[in-house]
Amino acid sequence: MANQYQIGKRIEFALNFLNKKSTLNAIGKLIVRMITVRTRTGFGVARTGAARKRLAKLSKGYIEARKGKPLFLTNTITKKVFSNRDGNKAKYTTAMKLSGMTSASKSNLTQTGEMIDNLTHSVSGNKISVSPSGRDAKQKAEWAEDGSSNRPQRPFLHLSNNELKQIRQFIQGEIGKALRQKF
Amino acid sequence: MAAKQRFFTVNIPKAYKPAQRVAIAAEIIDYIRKRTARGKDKNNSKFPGYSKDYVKSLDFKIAGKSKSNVNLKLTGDMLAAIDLLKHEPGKLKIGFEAGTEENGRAEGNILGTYGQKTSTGKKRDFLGITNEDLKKKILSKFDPGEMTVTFANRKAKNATVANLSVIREGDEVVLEVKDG
Repeated sequence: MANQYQIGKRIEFALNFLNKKSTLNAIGKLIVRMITVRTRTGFGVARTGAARKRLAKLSKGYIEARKGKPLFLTNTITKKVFSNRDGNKAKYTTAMKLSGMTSASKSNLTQTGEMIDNLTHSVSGNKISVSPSGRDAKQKAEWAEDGSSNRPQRPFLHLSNNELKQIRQFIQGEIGKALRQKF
Repeated sequence: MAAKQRFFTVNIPKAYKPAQRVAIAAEIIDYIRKRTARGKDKNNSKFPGYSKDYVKSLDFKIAGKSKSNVNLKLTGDMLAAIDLLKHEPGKLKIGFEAGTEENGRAEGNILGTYGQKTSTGKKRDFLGITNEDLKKKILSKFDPGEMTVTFANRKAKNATVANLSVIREGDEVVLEVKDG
């Protein structure tokens, strides 16, 4: 039977263990994995603690472009296709090369895969931060989160209610392991 | 059609107190998650394998799943959503909140419907525990006779059978050391 001193020691050990950089790094890795898989399977989260929701669908024109057809520039109000000086439709893109982690019609914030592949975590003190690394990836993430006049918001850099639960369960498991260690 | 709420009821000795019931439920839920991760259903039978179509699907690839490890985990949300729904003396109700996406996915696995009207024949009923596992692996860790005892004053070291009196009974027993 553990006496009061031993119990106190174990609690102290568990708290220290939780604040260890290696433990925080493991939690960071878990968060990156959860956001990656959830987003790539087509779900976003509007605010931390909310239920996940399907990301807004892709527009028909954009799906066509992802299939390899050129996307034409359209006026967002009149929906008319812009023309070049010579009267031809103004092309916006040429055929896209898609990552193997998406399909033409799947809305999962993946085209080349750069943005989500570059999601990383960092630990500073007892704080874990998760964001895409690299200027391009950061910019794309901002566009996705904020949307624009012709693109819906697709917030994904938050943790859902069940993801928070998964983190809690992970921490409980780690503390349990730490408490079972021999002193 | 909305999915029916998925839950199961566990009968435990009535002597367990509320705090113990919550702790027992947490142990059961943890056990279900670990057993499911090992590919076993509520009766400890192996889950049927994934369908060829699912193995070829983009989601399967995205989650980095393995064909040989049937663990019902794509994002982990479904298993994370299992909760203690209600408890009363002698009874625990464990399962999913009605109307949630996870309840729907649990139903798909339990009935083998996976979004179809009829079963695909691949039932993976993970929600439950055998009586034997409940007794051997869970309840054996909890003593229903265990009680919390606290002292109402700071004279515990002077306590003797003669000067102790009980000032509150129930889940938490509070004792008082009488002067003199």
